Amino acid sequence: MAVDITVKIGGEAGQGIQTVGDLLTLVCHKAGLYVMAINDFESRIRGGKSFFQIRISDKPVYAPHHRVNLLVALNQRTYDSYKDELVPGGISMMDVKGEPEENQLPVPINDLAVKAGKKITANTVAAGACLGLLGAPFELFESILKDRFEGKGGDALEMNLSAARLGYDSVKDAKFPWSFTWQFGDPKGSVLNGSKAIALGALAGDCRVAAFYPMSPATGIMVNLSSLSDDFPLFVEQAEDEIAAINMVIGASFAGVRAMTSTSGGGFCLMTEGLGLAGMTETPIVVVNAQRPGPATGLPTRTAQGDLMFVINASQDEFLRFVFAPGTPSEAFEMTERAFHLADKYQVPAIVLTDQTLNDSLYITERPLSAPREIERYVVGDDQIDSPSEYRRYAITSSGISPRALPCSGKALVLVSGNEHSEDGHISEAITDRMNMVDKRNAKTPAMLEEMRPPERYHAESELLLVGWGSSKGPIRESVDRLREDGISAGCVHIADIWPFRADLVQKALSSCKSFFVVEQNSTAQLGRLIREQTGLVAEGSVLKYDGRPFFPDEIVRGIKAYLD
Amino acid sequence: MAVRDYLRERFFPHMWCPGCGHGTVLNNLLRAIENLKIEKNDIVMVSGIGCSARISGYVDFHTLHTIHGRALAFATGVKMSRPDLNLIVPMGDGDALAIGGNHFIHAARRNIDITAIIMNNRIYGMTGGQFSPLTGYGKLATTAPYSNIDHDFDAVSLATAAGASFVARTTTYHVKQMADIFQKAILHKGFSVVEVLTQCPTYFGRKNRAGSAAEMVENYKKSTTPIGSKASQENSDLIERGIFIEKDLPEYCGEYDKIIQKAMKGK
Repeated sequence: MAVDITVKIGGEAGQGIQTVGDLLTLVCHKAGLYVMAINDFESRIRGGKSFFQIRISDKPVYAPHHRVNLLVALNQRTYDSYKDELVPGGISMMDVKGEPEENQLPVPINDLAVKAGKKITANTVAAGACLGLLGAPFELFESILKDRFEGKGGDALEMNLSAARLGYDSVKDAKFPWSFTWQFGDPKGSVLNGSKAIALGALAGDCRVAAFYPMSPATGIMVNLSSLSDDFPLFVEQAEDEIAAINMVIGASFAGVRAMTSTSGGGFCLMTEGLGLAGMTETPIVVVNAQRPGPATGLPTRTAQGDLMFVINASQDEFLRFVFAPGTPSEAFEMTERAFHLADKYQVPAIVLTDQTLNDSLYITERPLSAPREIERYVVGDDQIDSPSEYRRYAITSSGISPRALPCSGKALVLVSGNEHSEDGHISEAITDRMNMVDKRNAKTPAMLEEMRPPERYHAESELLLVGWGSSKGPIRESVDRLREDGISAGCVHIADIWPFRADLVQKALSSCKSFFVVEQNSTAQLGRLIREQTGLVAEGSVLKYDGRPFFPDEIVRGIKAYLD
Repeated sequence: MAVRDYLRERFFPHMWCPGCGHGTVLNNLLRAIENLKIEKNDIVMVSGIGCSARISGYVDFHTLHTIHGRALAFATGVKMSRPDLNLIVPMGDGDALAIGGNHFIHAARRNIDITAIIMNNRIYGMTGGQFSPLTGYGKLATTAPYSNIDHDFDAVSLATAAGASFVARTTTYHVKQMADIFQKAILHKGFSVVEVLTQCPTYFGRKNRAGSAAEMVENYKKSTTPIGSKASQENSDLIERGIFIEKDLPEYCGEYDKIIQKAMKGK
């Protein structure tokens, strides 16, 4: 029997939803299953309404499912809010006072926790009951708890094992229609969220200085980077604001190390002047913008794809930049590493555009993460300069790329200015200098375009194509599978290397279909507008979602079918 | 190395107005560096925007001429990457304490080894004489034609409160003291702030009937006094000059280095 089960664990912030979710994820991963889990929470530390929703499958899954088989309701409000998401036969496991409803399975979670030793073990009781219902062997759970609590001191392990057993046994007579036999071989790849993938990608790209100001949903990247600094010499600076963060990063890069910052839309707004300075001074930097709905504070802990046009155009006047929008943690890792490489090579800023869904959701990543063997640095020393004492930082070259010497590393004196400048980096208002410098900076365009990889295509020969970018990749692919099951000739195109825009490759990818639809998490179809601007091709329609929650494949299928009917 | 070797004379004549005090600051800064015998290759000068920031165009150092108010943030990034270098950041009063005020207090708080020079002429010169946070109550500016109602910061108190471990004030009249303070500030291990009262005859002077450049300079002699002098005790209107704070506190990059060692456990 194919396994495809969704478990939703809901309660107040601070109740330990995350712990139950983590335990389930670890057990499933160890059992060789695939998972994809989303985190939904409000902008508060205690109270409110949060959930962790995990989809468990024997096949790779890259999207959440909109219907729930098992609801773990840590309070009544969770049950009231989400009971309608239960599939027929689905159950809600919870503490029940009085007579249970038909779809409720009463488990005295808190009483069992007290019995195990402490109320705090309620999460382990709940996880135990969940795994019991799913038919998981208890030994598997036991081994995960040992990994987690052994060496923690005191009676933590013993207490949690007892809580796990009590929870597990409490449901042994219950019937759960989707209980299955747990035999799937070795663990598949590793469990990773986008935040950690980006942090690892930064290390793979030889990042040595990172500066940031806390902002959801980007903060996780820097928290991960900080925790990795026990293995890598790394300077992670929490700056006074985003303006300082990006400027510190430009300073660090000027001095010769690879550097990055990460933020969300509001912080990116503050960084735009600095972004322009990186453009003007041709200083390589990497900026991650983890999108959330806006404008202003918007929905701080939720997801969106509303900053595409913004990051492509951010800061005054015109200058080159790279923009990448990865679809999975594995791509986020690779693209972050590549962003460092390409920023360095072309002396331009590179932006990695992600969102709350990608940053905070757990995915199984099967492709091994690998760092380049050698970091190629595009800098020159005195020995590579004909006459170091006459070094000119912005020497005109046919490629537009001037040899980059580092300050205080030789005889070559490095002058950099955010004002328009002459070849030697000194301020200049001369017409020829202005024209030469704009043309020099723009001359990098053809080579930068060559670096951009073609969109990823799936059933590309189809009559109808869905076109998307960023984290909606998984949901779009799955919706294509479902449309095809219904006899519709559908495929999809995912654009991850977004800017500079390869109009030729996008045109080619869309040339054979009868019609294409853009699928995006914004309200004005920004990618659709970009494609039209760059290729002249007009989307037949769009499936747009801007409620701050991640895409479910089902919504896309329904959206497309509405056009076809 | 002679002072002239630190200058980029090919960019002269400089862009400052006749009588401007900024040239005096440049002169004494270079003399201080010459006295300390610092190699060009060990100095990075970072500046922002404004008349003061243009200093970086006339010195033959590695320079980073950036955007308004952000020079200290860049300098912090440079210092984090190359703690061995001498970082000198000349700023104007608006550059340092209006648009750059946040970076200023946080750099002071970190006590990062940077020499910050506030060239305080009490006005935005390059944009045409608008009032700055150091203009002062009752003064005139193009944007305060009926007199300014903003009170000014005391840059020395602000830097001290924010945690700078070296804080000094001098003027363009007291050139020997200026060069001496610059030397000490550059040698000091930590965040050093030197406020230099410098005349802007073109805007502040003209608007406020402060007289010619020479008279403005002369007035620095009359209106200031050494810290704790008898004159100071008798007349509280006098502005004190000298070194207010000079203390040995843990420096930021040194502290960070310890964290790296701790995290990596000698790996």
